[in-house]
Amino acid sequence: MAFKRQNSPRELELTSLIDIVFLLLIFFLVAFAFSLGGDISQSAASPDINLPEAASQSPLIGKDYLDHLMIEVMTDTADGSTVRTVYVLWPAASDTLPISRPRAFEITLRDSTFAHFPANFMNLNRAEFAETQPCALITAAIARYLAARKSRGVRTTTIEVRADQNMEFRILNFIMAQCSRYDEDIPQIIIRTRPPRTEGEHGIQKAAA
Amino acid sequence: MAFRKPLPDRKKLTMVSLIDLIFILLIFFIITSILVRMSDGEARLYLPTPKNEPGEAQILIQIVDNDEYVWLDHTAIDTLYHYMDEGSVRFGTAGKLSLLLDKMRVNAAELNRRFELLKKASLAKPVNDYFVLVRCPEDKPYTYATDIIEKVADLPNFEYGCVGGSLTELQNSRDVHIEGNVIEIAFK
Repeated sequence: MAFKRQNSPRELELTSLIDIVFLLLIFFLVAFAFSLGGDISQSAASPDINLPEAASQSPLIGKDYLDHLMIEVMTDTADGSTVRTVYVLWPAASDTLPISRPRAFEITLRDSTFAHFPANFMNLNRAEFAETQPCALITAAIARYLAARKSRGVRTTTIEVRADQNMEFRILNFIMAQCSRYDEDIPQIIIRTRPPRTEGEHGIQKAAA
Repeated sequence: MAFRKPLPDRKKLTMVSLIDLIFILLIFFIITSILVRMSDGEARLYLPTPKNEPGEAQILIQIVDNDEYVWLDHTAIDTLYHYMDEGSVRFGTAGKLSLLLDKMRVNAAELNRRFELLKKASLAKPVNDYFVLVRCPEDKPYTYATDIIEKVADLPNFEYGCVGGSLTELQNSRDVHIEGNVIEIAFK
């Protein structure tokens, strides 16, 4: 006698399914969080970088992945006095080559340059101001960056400026004037304003030290 | 006969629900921490690169201080009509110019109102060759300028520029010439 095969459809275990979905979600969220948190302090900074001492420097590039040349103007402490410092940060990201975030920070660190404004920079006339070391650095960096982009066939680009909220307009004005010289090539600038910083906020210099 | 009171059932903890709840809490905290880290309080302003041409403009906005501006446009002629000379006015002397600049002072609220009017007018009748020049004293925080630039950049069909300079420099300028709707300033 042939037994009748019971062919009842299997029910989906909803509880297990939810658990698995949540587990997957957690996995991706954690992976995303790790990919965001490419902290400079965790990257292997080159030992030959000679960065200035800074007591209140904000995180230089933080968790950001630089897409453009960034000119950062910050208040630093050098030789016991407060000075304005310009950092030029080069984006490590290539247009064609995908690059890991820690590697991007490493390259940005390696290629970044800086210069201090003299303490009396507000008393200089415009010609003298334009000849200061940070201004020369800005001018050269923009020209070099544009040349590098053009050599890769990129027609237009963007320059990012990041500065403390209380920074003097003279510095930003100089950067905008330089960008304006290439307004065909630099149609847009991004101005990133940092809020007033809190005590004990340390940045790249401390981390690198 | 006394009945025995039944022993209460020991309630078991449902493991599946507990795990679900823990996972939900974990997800909540992870997402919260990501969002907290994302909002770093940094304001980003995307601007068309301003021109650095201190010469001619249709509207000149001189930033004096935080809530103090000078708005100079063709209406300056109406403001000081008695200096008018056939639709053209030239403020070559410091006294006249100071008077003009004082008359054209506005606060932030009035500035915003004028921007709104300009925006409406520009949307109704697009103009192509309108140039707004923003001047900001170089010793002031740059946010004074970016606050205004942001509004100017928002005006449709307008071009704009931004230069450094104080009201004193403007007052001491050699010549402010307004003809038609064009303002031209010659600095010493």
